[in-house]
Amino acid sequence: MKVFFHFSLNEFSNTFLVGPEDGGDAILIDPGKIDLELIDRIEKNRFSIAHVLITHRHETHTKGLGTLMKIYNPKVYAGSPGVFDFPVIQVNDRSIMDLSGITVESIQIPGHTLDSFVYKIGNVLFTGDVLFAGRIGKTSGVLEKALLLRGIKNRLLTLDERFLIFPGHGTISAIKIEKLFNQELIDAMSSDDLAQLSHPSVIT
Amino acid sequence: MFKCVPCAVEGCRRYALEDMYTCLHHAENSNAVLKTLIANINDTHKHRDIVMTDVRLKDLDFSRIQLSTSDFARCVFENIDFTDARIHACFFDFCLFEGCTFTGSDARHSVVAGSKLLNCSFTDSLLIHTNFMGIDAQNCDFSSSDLYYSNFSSSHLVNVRFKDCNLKNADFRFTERDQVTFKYSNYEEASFS
Repeated sequence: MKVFFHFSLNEFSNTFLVGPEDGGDAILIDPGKIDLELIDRIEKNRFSIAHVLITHRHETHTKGLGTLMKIYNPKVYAGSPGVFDFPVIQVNDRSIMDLSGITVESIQIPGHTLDSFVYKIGNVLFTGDVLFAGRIGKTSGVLEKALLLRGIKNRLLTLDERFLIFPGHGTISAIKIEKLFNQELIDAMSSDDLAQLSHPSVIT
Repeated sequence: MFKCVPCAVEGCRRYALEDMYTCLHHAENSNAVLKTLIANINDTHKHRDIVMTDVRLKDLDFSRIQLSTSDFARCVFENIDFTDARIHACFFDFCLFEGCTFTGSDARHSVVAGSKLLNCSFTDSLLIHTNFMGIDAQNCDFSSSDLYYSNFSSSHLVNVRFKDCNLKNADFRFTERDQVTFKYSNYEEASFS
């Protein structure tokens, strides 16, 4: 499996290209912007974009979808199909999808947005805006932050420490690195932010 | 992308080397295996998806090597010349680099987090989106390098020079700094805690 990193100047977001060694149907994750450099990389590797995974609905991660649909007409997978202008396949938590021979596991971690998903392919986690190198996703309130932290704690930090993190923004990382050096995460975990979820007004 | 396959020896927590069932420590004739690995890397061809963790390398010329999506975690690099190397999306986390030269290298999207860097030079390098989180760097020089969106958070920097660097969106939060200079760099565009 080949994984390529593409940095989009559109809101400084990352797009990832995952495809088989010998070319063929490939997956694009978070098409923030489709530019000639990305198209060139797709074509040079003899890929055809058959699937697009959206980590969450924000425009910086989806803006290139229109262009992509015109060129490759891929199947699009997202947690909130209703927000797009074309057919999108609903992704559910803990679903395991076989996308042209590449196994993708979806992990729903709400908080940054309600429809935030992490996609696990091999030993790589495409975390979108859930978890970055040195940061956690931005949230709009304490409950959203608690939801996000609970998801990170229970669904990501429990994975093998060598799982690689390919986030929606910033540098790539690994679970072990974030456990040791993500001070924002360490501080949040040790504070009472997580305790907000035990409040009786919160339906979980 | 490289695969983290555990060493086949029961109880060993290291990962197997590329195209092998064991780590270097448990390989039969590990010296010969290491020589082969070095010879393979040292040729002028591009390399991808190499797994070569927990290895000690000393006094080698890796200038102009081309590596991508490879894993060199927990290695010791002593006096290695990476001048003009092209190292994309490679993992060098929790390594020791001593007296290494990366001048003119392109190490974009790579991960050096948790490593100790002693007397190393990263001058004139392209280090965009490079992860230096939690490093312990002493007597190192990053001058004239592009560190756009690089991450030095939670690191310990002593006598480190960032002279005339691009630091746009670089992350220096939670760092301990002693004798660190950012002269002529756009440090106001970086994040500091």
